[in-house]
Amino acid sequence: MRTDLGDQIHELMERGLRLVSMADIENRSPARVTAVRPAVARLGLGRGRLILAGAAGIAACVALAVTALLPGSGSGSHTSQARVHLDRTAASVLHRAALAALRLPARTPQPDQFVYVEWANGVRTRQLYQAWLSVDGTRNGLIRSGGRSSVDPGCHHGHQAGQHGYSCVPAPAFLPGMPATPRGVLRYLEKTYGLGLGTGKKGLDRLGTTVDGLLSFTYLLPRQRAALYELLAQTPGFTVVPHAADVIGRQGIGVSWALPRGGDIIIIFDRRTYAELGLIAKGSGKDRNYEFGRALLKIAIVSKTGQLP
Amino acid sequence: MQAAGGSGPVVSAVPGTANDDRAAFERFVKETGPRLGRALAAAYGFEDGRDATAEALAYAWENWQKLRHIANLPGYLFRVGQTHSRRRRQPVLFDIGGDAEYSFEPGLPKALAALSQRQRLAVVLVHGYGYTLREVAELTGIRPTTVQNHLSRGLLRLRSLLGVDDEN
Repeated sequence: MRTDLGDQIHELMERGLRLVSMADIENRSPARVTAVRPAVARLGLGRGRLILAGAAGIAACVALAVTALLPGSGSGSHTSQARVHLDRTAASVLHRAALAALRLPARTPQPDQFVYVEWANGVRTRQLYQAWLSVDGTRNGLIRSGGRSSVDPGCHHGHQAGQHGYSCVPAPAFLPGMPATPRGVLRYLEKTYGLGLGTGKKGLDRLGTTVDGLLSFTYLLPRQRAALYELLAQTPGFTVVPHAADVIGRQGIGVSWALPRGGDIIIIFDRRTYAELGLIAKGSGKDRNYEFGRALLKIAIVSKTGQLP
Repeated sequence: MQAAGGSGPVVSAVPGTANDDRAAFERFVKETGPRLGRALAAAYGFEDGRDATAEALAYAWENWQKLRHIANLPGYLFRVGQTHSRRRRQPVLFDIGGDAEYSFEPGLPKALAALSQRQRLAVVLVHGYGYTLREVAELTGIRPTTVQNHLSRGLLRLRSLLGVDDEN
């Protein structure tokens, strides 16, 4: 074992870092400028949209690929999809989760309110994670975790408060503009997050983590939540985990996807109600020490930071 | 996220740029890219950090005429990268993959990921790369005294997680 921690950190970082080249930059940048800027100027869209629209080529391919997976699209013979197994049981679990989501009460929060999320984080040692996230993304939120508090900076008129005028894009915790159909929500993810699905583990991981991020840190209307589950149900690559437990020991049924370099992430649902309980991730091989998990305790709307539902 | 496009359009297609600008920007990327990349990787993990770095530098390239005179452009671009990654409140991964041999503690990637983002920035940049507190402060927008606090607490926690008690 080496004792110089600084050397060890340096070695780890140097092994994992891949520097960005001019080719990487050009691949992202000119395509946006040349192909997208006229449309952006015409529509009056901001920089965030500009970035995301830059993936238009891939996004179009992804849209086609996923469209082919949707029921009734009639294009299921695509060769790259034929290699991927659509796990009917995982799809069934996700369908049930979608149906359960539709039975949840719908409440539309006000822009000046906050979404309160409360999680138990960690596998071996657990910490209470509490976050008050601005509904419209313009107000400073609050995050408490491990006995510490930090501000989740809001973005007002394109600038973060107290950040010397740095530009920003609001990250609202309520997304009234997000569609409530699988196809619509996929287009939304492509536009908003530049999400490229692909057919490999990496693409699946991107989809899974992005959807999980929305499920975990935004207040979704029942139909929006159902649409996200349906999108996962209609995407090959997810498998069912018959017996899974979240980090506080609640037993349920899981739907998993593979981490790009070994291991799995599992979203766990209550076996009876199909309500989402939480998520657990476990690496394998060289990543065998990687573990992460969180159990959902509460998600609610409150009027100010620090207020409990 | 994979970048759009395959071979990439020629540079002359970018409006308002010329060869001089390209040379200046390439110098900037060569000099600043690694620093920005290390900081964003420390904050978000290897993959998301690289994605954030590429996005920040692409933004700089698109707006080079406007941004090139900003005094602390690396710090500005660090914030751009942060904005890009802010939505992803996901586990931070330090995955080196492959079967390569290494001599660091096997638990180091997970232990680093368990630190707070600011602790990780301070520990990686100061302790791992030998940056000064002022350099980290300028890059990340955190005050030097705060960097020092995060460094002390981060090292303490890291050693505790790894079960080592050396003072290196």
